Amino acid sequence: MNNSIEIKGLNKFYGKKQALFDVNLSIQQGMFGLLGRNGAGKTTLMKTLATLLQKKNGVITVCGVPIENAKEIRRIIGYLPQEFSMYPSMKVGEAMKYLAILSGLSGSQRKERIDALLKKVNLTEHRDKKVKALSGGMKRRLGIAQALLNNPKVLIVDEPTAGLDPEERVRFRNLLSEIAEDKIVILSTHIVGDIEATCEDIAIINEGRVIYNGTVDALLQEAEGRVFTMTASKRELPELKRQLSITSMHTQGNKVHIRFIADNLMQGAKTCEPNIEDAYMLYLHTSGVREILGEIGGEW
Amino acid sequence: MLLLQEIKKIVKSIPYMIFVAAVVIGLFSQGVFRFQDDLLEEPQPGGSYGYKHEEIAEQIMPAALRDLLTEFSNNNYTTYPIGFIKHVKLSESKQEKMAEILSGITGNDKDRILQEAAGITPGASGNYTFQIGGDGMQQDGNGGFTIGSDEKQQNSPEKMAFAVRDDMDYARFKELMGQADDLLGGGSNYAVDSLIGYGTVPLTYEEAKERYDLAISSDKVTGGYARLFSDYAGVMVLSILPVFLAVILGMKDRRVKMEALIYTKKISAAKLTFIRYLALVIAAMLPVILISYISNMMVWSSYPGIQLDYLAPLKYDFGWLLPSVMISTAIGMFLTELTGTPIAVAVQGLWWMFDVNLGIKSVSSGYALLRLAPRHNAGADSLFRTQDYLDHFGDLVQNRLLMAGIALALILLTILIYESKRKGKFGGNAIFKKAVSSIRDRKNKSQA
Repeated sequence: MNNSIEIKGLNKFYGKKQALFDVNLSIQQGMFGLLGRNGAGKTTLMKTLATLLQKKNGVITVCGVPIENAKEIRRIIGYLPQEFSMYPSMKVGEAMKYLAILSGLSGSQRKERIDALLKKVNLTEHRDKKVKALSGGMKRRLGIAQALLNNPKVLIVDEPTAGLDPEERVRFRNLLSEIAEDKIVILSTHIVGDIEATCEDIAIINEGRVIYNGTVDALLQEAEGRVFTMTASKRELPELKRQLSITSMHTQGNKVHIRFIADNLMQGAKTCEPNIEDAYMLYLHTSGVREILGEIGGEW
Repeated sequence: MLLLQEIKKIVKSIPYMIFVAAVVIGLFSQGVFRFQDDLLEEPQPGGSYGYKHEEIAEQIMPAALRDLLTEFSNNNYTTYPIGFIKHVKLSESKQEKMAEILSGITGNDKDRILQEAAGITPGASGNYTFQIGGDGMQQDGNGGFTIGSDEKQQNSPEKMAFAVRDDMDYARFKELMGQADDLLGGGSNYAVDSLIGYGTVPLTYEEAKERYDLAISSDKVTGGYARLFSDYAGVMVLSILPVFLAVILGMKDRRVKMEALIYTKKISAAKLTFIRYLALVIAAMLPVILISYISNMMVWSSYPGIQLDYLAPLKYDFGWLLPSVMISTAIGMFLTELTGTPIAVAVQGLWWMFDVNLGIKSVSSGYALLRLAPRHNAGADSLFRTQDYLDHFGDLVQNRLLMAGIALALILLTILIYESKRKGKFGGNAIFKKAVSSIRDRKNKSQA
């Protein structure tokens, strides 16, 4: 059994609406980031990998197991959906025990595994707390713990940090990185910072299409020389916004410092070191251009 | 282990506590804790022992005719066409047909019967009876009195004192009564198989003693009380309340957003669904078993020296009541899984209402194949009506097996739906919501 996820020619429809277009990905052990806007198709892809949705066509194998073998896939994956909760009146320990039984763990395995996982996600002392009394961050950590009950080879985590405060977000990212040491962890997010902090390999998905698949370094390299900064007066800002793809800006008195992406250096601007956010924006921006050029037969 | 967890999950929930309270209140209101007020007594020579129905033409014909004349004169007939009580008012032409039937039974002219029904005695114009005083007489402004006739009095059955013709043959009488029943749309007391209700004869000591001995030997007393308990518990409680539990708990995973967590776990849909079903059935049966014993134990001390069957409540709980719980729970689980809505409550509620009303005419006993809750209530002829029960035991077994079978079939379908939803193959809830919103849109458009 190999340790990779192979996706070839995947298409997914909701009725007549196509949600995924010819997706091809090869995901190896470690953290894999799936980046994209809300509604880009990330959750559809995650759910398909978690056997919760049926694909229209294409081939998916998870650690060598065809996705059609849902029973076996469920045995080797852990899944944390974007929105989830647990029976609110159950205590943390009880909820874990219930889900461990559903995961098919024996009595001794259950005890050992639940203790270890609660310790790992730092919830041991909250074991007797009711689920409804947990904070958002604690609930997410409990979510990760339940997804790891069956010691899966693959952990699929959909938008896990949305709504968390910065401290919890950092803690969560670190936890995922730890878990990824011996597993495939697929992290789907629209928050670039999550990817930046945890992933080496990523894919960018936009409107159901994979528009980038590679390493973070390669993505940054592609943005090299196309990210600039400049300082302008506030009066000029509306016109600059219209002309440029601005990725960030800071106002200082009457002046505004902007960071933007462009093909060429413009007067008054300086080239700067791109970050993932810049590269991501560049890709979203240029993928639109690519599509338009593709349609009219031009070159990019 | 999972079964225990599921039972724990149910019994610790607020809906279950409400369920238990409803079961206790429902059964208390039916008097299951007062069985000691109705004790089985050994008949003594020289007493009165109740009555029984028998097809005695001499009794049935005048009694049935009397009732039919009363209803005819008021043009207000009571029927139970599909179990529900229905008051029938016939059209003029149908009243004429009814008069023809009455003419056939009494030998009197049809027109005379119609006139008498209208309060007109042929050949005796103005032969009314007036009530002087009371509500019928009122003083007018000139100091005189206005006397009004009492319409009810004019149409009172006593006015239509027709008798069955002397040469009436009982077979012909039944035939004519059958025609009357057809005219009323069926379900009346004049239906051929209902006429026996007009024939009652007192029980003899020997018959009463025989019934008593049968209750002692066959029911061992406690069996009779367990049967009465099952009658009340089946119809008032267990044919409807378990559906609420099944629906509320069936929707819980979705409501608390736990569905995806459970869907991706290793457990099979068959195991999870069946264990959840079993847990719901066990949880629903627990208070019933307990109350059935409390109810039964209250009479044990009233029968010293008689060999009682201490397992009788348990036998009836499982044989009689369990299938009701099974079908009610299965309908709840199936429709909730199929639609993602609480529609099962409405479906089961309708069936239950229909079944209860079906029982209006057959409270004493009802074992039809599709009855949700079989009936076997106490009777005036004997407390337990043991012989009647034994006569219908085969029907009861068929009914209970059918209900249990349908319940298991529904659970099999629930398993298939669960697995399909789990794989994203079937979006029952989405389909249902789409259908509801399309109906709503159409309604809004038509209102606009």
